[in-house]
Amino acid sequence: MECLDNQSSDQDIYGLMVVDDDDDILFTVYSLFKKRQFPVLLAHSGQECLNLLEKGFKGVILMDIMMPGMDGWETVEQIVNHGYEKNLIISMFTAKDIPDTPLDHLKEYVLDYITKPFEPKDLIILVDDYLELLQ
Amino acid sequence: MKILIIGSSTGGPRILFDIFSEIPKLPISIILVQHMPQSTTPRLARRLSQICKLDVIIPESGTKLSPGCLYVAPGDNHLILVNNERILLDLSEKVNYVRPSIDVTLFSLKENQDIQLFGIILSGMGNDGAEGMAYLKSIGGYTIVQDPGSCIIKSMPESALKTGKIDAVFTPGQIHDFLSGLAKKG
Repeated sequence: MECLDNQSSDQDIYGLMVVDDDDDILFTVYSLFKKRQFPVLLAHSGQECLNLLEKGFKGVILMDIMMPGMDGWETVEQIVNHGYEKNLIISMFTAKDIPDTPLDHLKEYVLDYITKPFEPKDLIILVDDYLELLQ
Repeated sequence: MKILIIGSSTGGPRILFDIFSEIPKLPISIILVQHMPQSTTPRLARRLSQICKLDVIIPESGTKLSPGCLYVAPGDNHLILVNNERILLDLSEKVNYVRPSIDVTLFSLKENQDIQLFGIILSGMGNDGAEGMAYLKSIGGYTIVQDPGSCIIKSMPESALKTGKIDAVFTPGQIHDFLSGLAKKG
């Protein structure tokens, strides 16, 4: 799947980025938000996420944990190392029932956990809440 | 005088939005220690100020506590209370891997018969706040944790519960009612 993007190039617009190696998840989340006014970016890997951040993405990131190559926590670590976290709200996006992290030093950069499967209504409310927080 | 310390981490902000929703001005000083990057602090403070009637303040060193105020500990600073009266921001080493640390704030409280002290631990990873809550109990404070069953991440309230020094386990709705009740008691 290509990265679907309805964003303008305006650097001041906050958007939503979903980072997940599962195309079905990416498509589902994209479908929920595609008619909204904010950019919705999809990344299949931690590296794609970092590439989008390098291009100036600001907003809410839903970060899958279990991904091949760089996992979600390693990606968060890279986000912090690059100083990209300033204009982000990061929520892990996980199928695990009992999420926790061995990387305790990263917990202050992750504001929330959203578990999969998710209720579409709840996800929309949360994303809206966090986008409002960023404004 | 009453002082309430709220410790919150991952999964906590959405609970904060629930428990502070439509909370009136309360006769209590509330200090929120949320694990978050520095850049998130003004955003969280602004959001909280939109949903409750408390004066939401990001304190500086020297800020004196006043009732009716919600002080949001700035990211990347420990928040220390001096004589239960004034706030000191501190850039010393991270504690429990975080700064601000909930334990640091709780351990700065002083026993005082004239001041009612309260502590609440919300959702979060790790064990920050657990030892501090036990200390708070030892100096006469009232200790509450969010019901782990209602937490996105249970570790912080569960760690506090393991100390055996927790007075109450509340759902977010009960925490909201507890806060509202503080207003009624005057």
